[in-house]
Amino acid sequence: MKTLRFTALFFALAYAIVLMHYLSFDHRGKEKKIEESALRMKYVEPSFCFKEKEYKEFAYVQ
Amino acid sequence: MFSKNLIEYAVILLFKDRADHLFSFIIFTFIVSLLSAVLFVSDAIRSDLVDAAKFGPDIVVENTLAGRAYKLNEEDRESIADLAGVSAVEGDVEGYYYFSQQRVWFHLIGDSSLSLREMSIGEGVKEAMKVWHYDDAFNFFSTQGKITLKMLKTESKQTNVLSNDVIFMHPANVRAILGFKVDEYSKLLVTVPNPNEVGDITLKIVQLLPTVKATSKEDIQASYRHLFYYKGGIFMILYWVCTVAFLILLKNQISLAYGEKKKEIAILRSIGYAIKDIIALKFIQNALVAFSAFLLGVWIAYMYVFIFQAPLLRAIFLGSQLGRSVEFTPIVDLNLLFLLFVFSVIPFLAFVIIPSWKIAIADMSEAVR
Repeated sequence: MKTLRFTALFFALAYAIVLMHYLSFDHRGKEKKIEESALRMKYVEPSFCFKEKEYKEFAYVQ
Repeated sequence: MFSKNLIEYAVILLFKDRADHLFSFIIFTFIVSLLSAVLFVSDAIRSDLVDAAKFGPDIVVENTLAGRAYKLNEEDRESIADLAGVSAVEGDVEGYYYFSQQRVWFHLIGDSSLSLREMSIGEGVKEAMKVWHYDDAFNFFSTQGKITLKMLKTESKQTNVLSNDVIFMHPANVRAILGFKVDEYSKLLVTVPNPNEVGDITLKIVQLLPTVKATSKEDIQASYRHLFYYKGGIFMILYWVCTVAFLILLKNQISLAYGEKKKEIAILRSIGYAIKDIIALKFIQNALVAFSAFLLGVWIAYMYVFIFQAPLLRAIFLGSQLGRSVEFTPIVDLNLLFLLFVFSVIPFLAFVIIPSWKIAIADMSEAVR
């Protein structure tokens, strides 16, 4: 039982870090920045920097 | 559900056979963390792109010549503007500039809020320029000669998915560098006030100008939602790695019920353990391994992607030609994680519980011998 309690405590602490990070992330601020950038760019294109076109096609839909 | 003594005995047995269980635990954690990390990275990129596409024009018109992108002109703009239902058509000038010293492409975008001598650059562009000691200004070489622009500011790291390779400058500078005349455009951005008319107008534009490609906002958003090619490339390799690792794991799981373990089950049965107790014992042991490995795998993936910003993996998704200090938006798709849980934990448990049950119901005297 001691082992189980220790394991549960470990995961509780680990996931508390995850939860804290998730909640402390400024989602609204990032959305705003993306909105500003998107409005300036007018037509949004992802900024991928692959050596050749084929590299990109390896990860993304053509 | 299970008695305290049974749980304690299961944990003791788990530690007794720790070598076998540790192997399962490591492989399981590896599979879950690899798949979760890829899901986290793809969800974060997709979410940023879909968010950004919301602010785009209703229809984007691009011209093609022999299958390649080509210029549009003022006549094209006017003919689209004359269509019923179109409220505005804006000509946009943007394109790519090759920085030969560093062998990278910069994306030039017109921004009329900037003066003729200034530019605003993405982080990747800044790093590429810095290598060649362009710290405050950069020289663009065009057919019209050298154009020197001062670096006004660097774009926020938060928008790196969009602006890493981008240089914002006055539209007149973009025209001069890329060789566009005053009445030429790279794209036409069409505004349609009534969303129900967008589809019809898109078709009308293509009928009017047969060489153009007209894409509606909805199509752009859909293309970003389906950006990742799950059936090929990087994902196919990933699935194979995970499938092979999972098969090794399942083989190890089956071996946990045979050999010495078969004797163990037989002894437990002969001293009075019921079949359901033996199954419960195996379930507790393996559920502990599976749940711990799953939770640890997801946790490692979260830390790797959202705190350490996925070193190595991000180069596969975003490219490595320009330096990139990206900030992934924490997006956790619980549906996909649940799916991953169901398809990994259930086979993992089934592959040890079913053989254990088969042994437990068999003739014990033969197993003990």
